[in-house]
Amino acid sequence: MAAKVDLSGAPGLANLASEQVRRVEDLAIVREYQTDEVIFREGEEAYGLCFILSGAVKARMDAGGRVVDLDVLKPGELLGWSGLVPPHTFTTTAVCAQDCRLAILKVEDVQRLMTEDDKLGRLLLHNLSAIIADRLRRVQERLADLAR
Amino acid sequence: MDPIVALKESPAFRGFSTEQLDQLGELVLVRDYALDQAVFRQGEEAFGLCIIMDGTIALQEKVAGRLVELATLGPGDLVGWSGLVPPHTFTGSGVAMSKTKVAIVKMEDLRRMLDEDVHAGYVFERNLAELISQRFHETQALLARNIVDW
Repeated sequence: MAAKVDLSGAPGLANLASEQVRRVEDLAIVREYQTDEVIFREGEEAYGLCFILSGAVKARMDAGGRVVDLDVLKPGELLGWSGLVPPHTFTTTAVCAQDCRLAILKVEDVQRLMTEDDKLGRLLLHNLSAIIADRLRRVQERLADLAR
Repeated sequence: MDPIVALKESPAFRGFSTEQLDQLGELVLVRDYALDQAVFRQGEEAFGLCIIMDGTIALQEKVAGRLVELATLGPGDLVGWSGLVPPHTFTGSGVAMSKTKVAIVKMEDLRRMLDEDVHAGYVFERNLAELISQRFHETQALLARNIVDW
């Protein structure tokens, strides 16, 4: 069931007009998870983009049979973007690190919105690129730290 | 490799029409680099999107005083996309590992074209998100393997 949610400050919606933000918010489904609850699993078909409204989420990966914690994501951050870009499956397992609330946008709803409105689609994808680039830098910094 | 062919075969411009590629082709500059020559430096303002036409570029990043090799890129590969997202600077350095030829589309020219052609802007941003996501996933997997090995 859709619930009213405020995503106006989310980096994923930066530079969108109020009306555009409202159209995205109208798609959001709010879900709550308890600490240690699995939100989605690595390898599953990515069904939705998840904005973290409160709490924290751990991103975990299976590296040759061993589970590795890669990152902890906080309110305002986005996960599950693989629904919009290849491989279209979740590339990590997301586990609630601290009781959390997520605003989930179904992939097909977002894709329809972007197809209907090129300008909105361009803005959303541009913001997504900025978010992924920032996450890439974080990962590169951790790699560099390990190399030291 | 012809610059227009480099653009056409680059995943950054997948889905662009012949007309849009011709328009881009008019914006392209071609630059040659010698072995060990810096193509771009970490921290400098990203001047353009660079598609490698011939040769090889080593992508490096200096973190806490230590030089880390991130990737080796060859013909068809794209570098400089960091100019399109914050902080709009090159986040690593690119060094030619052989005689290298690069097709460059200046950032301001690209932005202007994408602002004028809304659909091209949408298609390009979709391609860019896919490229950055692919790089992220590869690096994330590398991090996971390194953590296990460490």
